[in-house]
Amino acid sequence: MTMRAATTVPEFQDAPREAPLHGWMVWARRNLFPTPFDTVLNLTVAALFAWVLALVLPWVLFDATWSGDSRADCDGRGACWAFVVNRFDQFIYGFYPLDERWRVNFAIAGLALGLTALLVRGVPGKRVTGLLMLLVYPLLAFWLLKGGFLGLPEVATARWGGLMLTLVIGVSGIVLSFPLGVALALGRRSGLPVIHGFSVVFIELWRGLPMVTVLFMAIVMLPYFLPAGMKLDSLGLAVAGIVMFQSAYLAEIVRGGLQAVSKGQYEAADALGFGYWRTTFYIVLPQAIRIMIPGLVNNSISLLKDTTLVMVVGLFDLLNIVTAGSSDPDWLGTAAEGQVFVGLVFWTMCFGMSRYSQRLERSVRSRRH
Amino acid sequence: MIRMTGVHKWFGAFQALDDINLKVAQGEQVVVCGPSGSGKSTMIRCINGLEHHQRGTIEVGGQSVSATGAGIEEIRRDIGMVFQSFNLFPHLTVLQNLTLAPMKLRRMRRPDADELGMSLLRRVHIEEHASKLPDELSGGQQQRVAIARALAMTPRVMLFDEPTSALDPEMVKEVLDVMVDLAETGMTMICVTHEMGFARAVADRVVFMCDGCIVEQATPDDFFSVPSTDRARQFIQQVIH
Ligand SMILES: Nc1ncnc2c1ncn2[C@@H]1O[C@H](COP(=O)(O)OP(=O)(O)OP(=O)(O)O)[C@@H](O)[C@H]1O
Ligand SMILES: [Mg+2]
Repeated sequence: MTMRAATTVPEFQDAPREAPLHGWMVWARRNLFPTPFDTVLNLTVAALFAWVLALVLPWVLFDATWSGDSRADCDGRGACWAFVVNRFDQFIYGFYPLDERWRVNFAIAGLALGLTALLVRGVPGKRVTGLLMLLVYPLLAFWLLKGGFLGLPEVATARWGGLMLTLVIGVSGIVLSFPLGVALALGRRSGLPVIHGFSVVFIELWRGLPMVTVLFMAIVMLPYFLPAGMKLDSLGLAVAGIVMFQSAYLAEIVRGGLQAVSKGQYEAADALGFGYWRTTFYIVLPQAIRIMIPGLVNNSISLLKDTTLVMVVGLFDLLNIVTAGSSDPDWLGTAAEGQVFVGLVFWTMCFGMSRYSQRLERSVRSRRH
Repeated sequence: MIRMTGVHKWFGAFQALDDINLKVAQGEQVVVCGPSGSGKSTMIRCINGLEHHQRGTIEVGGQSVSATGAGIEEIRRDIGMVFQSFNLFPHLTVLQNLTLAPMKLRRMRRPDADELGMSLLRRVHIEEHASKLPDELSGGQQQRVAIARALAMTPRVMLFDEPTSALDPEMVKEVLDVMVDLAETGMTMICVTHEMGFARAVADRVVFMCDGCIVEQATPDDFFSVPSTDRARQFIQQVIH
């Protein structure tokens, strides 16, 4: 409200005394060239931008090669996108058997559909969809991707890879670390010494360890302590490591949100006869989550990017599989193209999350004022 | 209805309540007043267990409010409380503020709860704001919603802790009017307030507190015209100016 009012104020300042100008010219004069200093600054920035484009565009677009079977098909002047095009399926599905890839498609389509229904305003049945996505979808996705029962042949997790693996780790990491993070935050605020102590130790322990160390220990050291012959699933361990790590971070974000809920809210809930759990779920958490949105999204973004660390335990996530691809003798010298592609995919996903959180914040704020 | 016998309360080494004895009968309206820091809030907060007393007994409707807080939730559901700072739930609409407790604590179905909520909002003259958020209302409107929210649990007793102190002067009356209406329905009420007009209009008894003690109890007329202690006399001078 206040913003809109502020932008309409200076309207009368520059009634056109000289030649009448067209709309965009008025806009440009007012916003780009209001003073000589601004004019110089804006022109400099524009020149720099043009210079960068002139350097980058030929490589990225004009001189690039889009198809071919090996690096030799690229002339070397521009980017060798043939590498990405040629290996695209592998970047998405990893080593998932060709005949079974429809299962991955179904799982991803299910995720996309569910998220759309949840995130787009105006789609009805948010509560049912949410429950389905939280309770039914994980089982369904597990059955589709892993199989081995109910008529689907098993595909070992060692064959999973690429974007699909990144999504599996990222989504399960985000979904599983949230309840654990909330529980830890509540535990840390608890008056019961055992629960409080456990939460503090857990949070401080995991927060203080580098993620790579956590993953390395999970895969390399854990087997020493297990009975001989017992083999743990690398993917499961990697997800567990990420969840432990991220839930510790999340717990501190949630704790910040809980602290922002005033004492009066607890008293009002107490006075009405709400107990601890009902106060927490109906009154405290809904308020805290609104405050936590930026932190939660920030955490999810960093989690998604941290999934690339699973390469230390030998999993082929998107980054690792692209890196491996560009060290294939046929494609030597395509590291730059691979990294640009990976960067673009990650940036798109993270930017999407960031935009969504901004919209969410705005809608929460506009409902409050 | 409410019986406090020999209640003592300490905050650390500081004694906030000193041998409080108070009986409030069903349907009685009691106004509690006294200088700042005299323990008025502490006393009524002990009645629904928001503060734990260390000595003495408190009974509400025959049930003992235990100092350790066991079974306290059920007792609180029968005691409505209105705070100086409203404490409405900001993430819920006005109507949802009223219906949350009956639905979650008394298992009332949504249509019934909505109907109850709307009838209470009508009673406090605020039904046209049912679907707004608390932040969109004035202080006086918010406090009326807070009263309605407490009433939604059909309490047997209502406690008010300075319900009009945080309000702009022009909004005080609309809240007091609602409280007068409530008193006329025969609700048992304990009100901490310095609104002497309200005390004269509805109170059966004025309880005057000082330094954690109940110093004087009298009908409003007696209390204001012939206070029996110096402290009360001074206090009345101050509030009347
Ligand atoms: N949580 C607490 N910890 C320590 N001391 C407290 C606490 N709550 C209240 N007190 C003290 O107890 C005394 C009584 O406080 P109380 O809030 O009951 O006074 P009051 O009569 O309601 O005053 P007011 O008119 O200012 O609201 C005060 O001296 C106050 O400082
Ligand atoms: Mg007080």
